[in-house]
Amino acid sequence: MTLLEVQELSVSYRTLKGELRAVQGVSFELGEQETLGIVGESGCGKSTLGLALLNLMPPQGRVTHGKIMLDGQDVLSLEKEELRRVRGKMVSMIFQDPMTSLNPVKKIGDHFVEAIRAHTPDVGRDDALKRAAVILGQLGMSSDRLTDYPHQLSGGMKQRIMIGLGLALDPKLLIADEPTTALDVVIEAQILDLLRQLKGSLKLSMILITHNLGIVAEVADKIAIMYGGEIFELAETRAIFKKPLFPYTQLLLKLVPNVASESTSLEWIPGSPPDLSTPIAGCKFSARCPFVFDRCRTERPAQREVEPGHRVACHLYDGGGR
Amino acid sequence: MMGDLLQFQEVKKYFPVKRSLVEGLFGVKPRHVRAVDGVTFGIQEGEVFVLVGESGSGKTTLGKLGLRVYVPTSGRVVFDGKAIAELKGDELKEFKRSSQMVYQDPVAALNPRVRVGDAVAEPLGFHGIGTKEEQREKAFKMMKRVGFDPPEEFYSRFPHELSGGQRQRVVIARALILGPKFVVADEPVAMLDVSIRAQILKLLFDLKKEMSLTLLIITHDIAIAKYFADHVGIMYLGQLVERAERGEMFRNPMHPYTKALFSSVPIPDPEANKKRMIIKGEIPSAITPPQGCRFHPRCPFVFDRCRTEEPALVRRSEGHLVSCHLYDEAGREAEKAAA
Repeated sequence: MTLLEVQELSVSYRTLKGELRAVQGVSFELGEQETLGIVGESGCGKSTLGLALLNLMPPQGRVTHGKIMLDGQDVLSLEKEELRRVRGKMVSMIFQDPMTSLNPVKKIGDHFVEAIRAHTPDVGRDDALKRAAVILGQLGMSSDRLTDYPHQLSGGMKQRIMIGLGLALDPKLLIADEPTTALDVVIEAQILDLLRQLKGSLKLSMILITHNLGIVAEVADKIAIMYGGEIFELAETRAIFKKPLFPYTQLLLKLVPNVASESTSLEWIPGSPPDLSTPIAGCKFSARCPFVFDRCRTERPAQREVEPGHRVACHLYDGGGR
Repeated sequence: MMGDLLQFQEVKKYFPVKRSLVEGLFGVKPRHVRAVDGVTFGIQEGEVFVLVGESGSGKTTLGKLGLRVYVPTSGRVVFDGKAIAELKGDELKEFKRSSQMVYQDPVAALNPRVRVGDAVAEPLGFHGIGTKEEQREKAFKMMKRVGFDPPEEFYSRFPHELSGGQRQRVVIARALILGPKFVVADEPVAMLDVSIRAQILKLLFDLKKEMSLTLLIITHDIAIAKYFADHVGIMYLGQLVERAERGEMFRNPMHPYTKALFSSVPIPDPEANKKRMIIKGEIPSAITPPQGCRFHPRCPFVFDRCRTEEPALVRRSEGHLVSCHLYDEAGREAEKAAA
């Protein structure tokens, strides 16, 4: 069953340099209990995409085109009140930095009470705290922590609390934007382990936004590779790693240091990611692509399903060839 | 230790923790953060030593001790046979010229109002090397060397006009323009995008070879050690817990913390073996580090001796140093008894 369907979504920001097209024509589907990893570098539009899914754009940003269907509802046309109900109960989001996401003068328990009662006001404070204690149990934390203030918790515990708050209303979809980037690698492993467990036990769908291919390799069922605001390749995790098609994906896999690999030489991509405030003719990766040919510089490649479930936007694979 | 350019000898660095007024009035004893607590090792001339640790392990403090940004609370840092804390006058100036730092954040490391070419040339001015014209000429050469081609095109730009990778190239050029022998790079690529990181690491490595530098890279990213190190050191809570040659370290990590650290790294391969050793809890406070072995509260192999006796850094095979009771005779017996 499809839980989320995104069609041709484009998002722009107003900036001093003009319109910055952060997300351009992005489409994908997410099934129930499925985990999608959205992978890309900073500035590729992955966080903007995550925010747009909940219609949480900052004031200078707006969706210019496209449709987001979440469990049969059109997110972009919902009224404020309806949208509020969707956020939290249906979908919730956790962010990169747990240090700034918690209110320093509120106890952990009060964070849970606030989150639960904001959406289900008829639940009493005591019942909300009981629910919070159950959630902390699922996260491997003692319910004593409910009376702590955020500064009494370590970084890893704060991120567990953020995940717990995200789960407080039993959502169907959890969007996690770089959930482990602010954490040390040992703690990162703990949190990833937790996400994997929760995915199974709570029957959650997840969208995991990250720059780290290692993380998606371990948690995601499908991977979307973003570059310059577009999804250039989308396939099952195994296919992305075993048979990457888009040249950027191929290079990305070779330039990420891998502790487990035998090789000790790194590939690298010359140049830097494109500036999205100036329109780019042709393929956005053409300036850095080792296989570039004339057509790439003038014509934007269309999405093609090259193999069942494996989609790529690249002139190398559209039959016309060079 | 022959061939060591830099040696840390029993180096400790404690920072006082500020007492509150109330604590002061009640005569609460001042406490200290034991950022570096008894570290001994050498860095050989011409090698890349990668020091790996989590936040709070004291790795950055150690790097700064190596450059005399900090002076040790006790112990000695010896550079080229001389204790750097005792250097004075010309010798100190010479040391400052021959040891340099590459910082993590190129935005913070560059003055936004200084043109990048001038920023590269600036250290020459500090040390009174050459005329203005010669300094400019040298800056051009250095900029070309780190990948600005033609350098004239970039010389007069301001930092905000460059990309993150280019800014880090400027920081590297500035650190190398004095022709140092020893460079500390503290998380040199942590702030950069994944597609840029490999370029910058490669550049550092090439320059190291060309200019016969000795390089200390400080990082939380174990993979960097895997690709670039000659020797790897692992820090935990202010102490060096393991040191080995790169191949040996990755083939045969011995300290339980090192093992956990290595197995925590997410592997970009869905078919990789996912059996991993996840350790519980987080790095404890460096104000009141645990008694005995500092890792014992989180160690899956802990036994009685670990709780009371601090293990020494002992050579277990050629060039492989580990501080862990498991590898002592008594340790092995205790392990057997537990099994």
